Amino acid sequence: MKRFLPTIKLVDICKKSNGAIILKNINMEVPDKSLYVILGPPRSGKSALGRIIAGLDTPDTGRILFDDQDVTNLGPAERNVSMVFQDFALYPHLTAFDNIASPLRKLKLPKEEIRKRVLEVAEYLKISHRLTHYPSELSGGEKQRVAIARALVKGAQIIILDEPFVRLDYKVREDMRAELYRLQKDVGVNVILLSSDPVDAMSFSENIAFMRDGEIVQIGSLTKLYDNPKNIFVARYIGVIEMNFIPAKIIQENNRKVLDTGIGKIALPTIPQLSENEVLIGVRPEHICIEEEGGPPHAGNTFTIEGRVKITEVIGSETIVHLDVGLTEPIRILIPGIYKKNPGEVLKATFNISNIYLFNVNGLFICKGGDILG
Amino acid sequence: MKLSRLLGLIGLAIFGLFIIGPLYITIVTAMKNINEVFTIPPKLIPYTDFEPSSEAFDFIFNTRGKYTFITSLIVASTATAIALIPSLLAAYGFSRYPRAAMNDERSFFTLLTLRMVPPFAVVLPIFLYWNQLGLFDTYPALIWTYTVFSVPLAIWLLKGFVDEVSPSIEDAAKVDGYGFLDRLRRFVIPMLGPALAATVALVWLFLWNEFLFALKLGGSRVVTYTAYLPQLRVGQRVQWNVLGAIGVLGAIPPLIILILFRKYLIRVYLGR
Repeated sequence: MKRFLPTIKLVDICKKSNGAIILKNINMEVPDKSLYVILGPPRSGKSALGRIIAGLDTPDTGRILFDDQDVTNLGPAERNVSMVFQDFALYPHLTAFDNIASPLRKLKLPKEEIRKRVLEVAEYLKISHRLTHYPSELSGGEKQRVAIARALVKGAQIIILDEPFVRLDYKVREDMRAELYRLQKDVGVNVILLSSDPVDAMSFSENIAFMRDGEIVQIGSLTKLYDNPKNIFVARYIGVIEMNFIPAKIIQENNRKVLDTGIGKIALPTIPQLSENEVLIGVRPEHICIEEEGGPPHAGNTFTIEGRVKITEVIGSETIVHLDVGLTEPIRILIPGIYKKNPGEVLKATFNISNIYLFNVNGLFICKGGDILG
Repeated sequence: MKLSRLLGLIGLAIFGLFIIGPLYITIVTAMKNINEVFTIPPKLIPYTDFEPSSEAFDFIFNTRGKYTFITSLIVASTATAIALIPSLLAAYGFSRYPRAAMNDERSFFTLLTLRMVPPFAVVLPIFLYWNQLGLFDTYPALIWTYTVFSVPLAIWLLKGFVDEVSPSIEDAAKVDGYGFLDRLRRFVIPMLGPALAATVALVWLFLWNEFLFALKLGGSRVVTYTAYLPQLRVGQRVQWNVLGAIGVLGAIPPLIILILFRKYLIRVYLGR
């Protein structure tokens, strides 16, 4: 099932709906044979963008190019694009077989050919035994497989999946993520995933476009978004648990620049390109450790805070400790294993300076701690 | 038994008497010959008070009476069928393009007010129109008038049902390559299914029972069974038994519809 796959190019796409701007100057390029994630919070415009790429909506201005062919005014079928919808959008009055066969029936293929192709794709997606059933009789995962089969069967070059995992149980979600990965590798099809779940970005980490308020904020791999987030918003979104923020003033002390957090001071050799004298320090919950009494002291350039436990939350095999250190919000600390502490207990927490992120007061990323320490 | 339940049952019993009483009298009257209709006190129990007679039914089947049912059937069915196409398209538009020009509460409400106008307020001008056109007392006149008055009701009912068809299903059909009419025919209409049938049934029922237009726009060449009723008199005497028999026969189609579409009609009346 090898296919010719185009590179998708979006040029200056703008879209208004009901007077409100929902897409602002979108420029991006989806390389061929890729699994591309468009990540963003709900209502960030990713669905609108997905519909425009699919050909279900036309942009107000801007062009869509597949390789160098302008497809802006072509419908989904003419572009050879498929879409899998969040609610799967299976036809309730048709069996799974007829659902999958629907795009082929439109092409008026011979009956035998339709049958052969439906069975082939059903086999691949492991739903052969469910083909005579109606959508209402299928489980969530099976519905999704039927929806993906319907998208695959006509040999589309591009498949767009809109929030494909939201309606699925936790365990089925894992299966379907693996399935999608396998499918993209085997079939060789451009897959564009619209998602608000950062876990999707972590599973398919090569190409991510982060959207917010109708704009693309940052494009890159997961590593890039994680290590060099363009602003506070990206930093907060990419991560299992939200990043902590500590406001700090930059002061001179003994001829050295020092970050004064109000709950302790961090001495820095240099702070590059800073016009402001205030910054936000970002620390990821997974970069903070709890200092047990009598434990070995932390190596390297570290910063230690002390506070009272507000609450501990166990998520799967990890624990989040909310530590009240006297800031407006407690500091979240992610610790492997199940960890029980009573509220009110006093703890010391430490993080390495090389792991902090610095943002200016407007929320733009300046640098990481590691860059300053050299 | 609790008092509230007892009171409820008594209330229901009184209500039931009001409904069943007249129906019973209609049925019993249809079973009498004309002389027994007028006896005082009335004879109420067949085989005990009086011998049932088929006089009324014989009268209908041996006169033009039987054709009036066929006329009603033709007029109501044709008008329903014609009304359905624009209604379905309009309901689709109201449902799917909420931001289109003129698609607002006002225009939808205006449509509904057409339905609220008492027929008596408009029947005379309509009569004059058809008379001017030389179409008074013809099938086209009655059918077209019925069509026009059915469209608002049909749009109103169908819009609610189209709203329930998820737009993403139509998007999926677009992605599969289907154009507008194909989508309507292969996906929207089959998914409306029984709801569409219930709408058809309800619209048809209103036309089947319609009296005023039938009487004023027809009456001598085009006679529906309802317009036939006032003609049933011999001299000064009203043929009550034949009236009863027509009532019984005329109630059969609505009864069948109610039984078949009960589930959907309840949804329609309760606003789901």
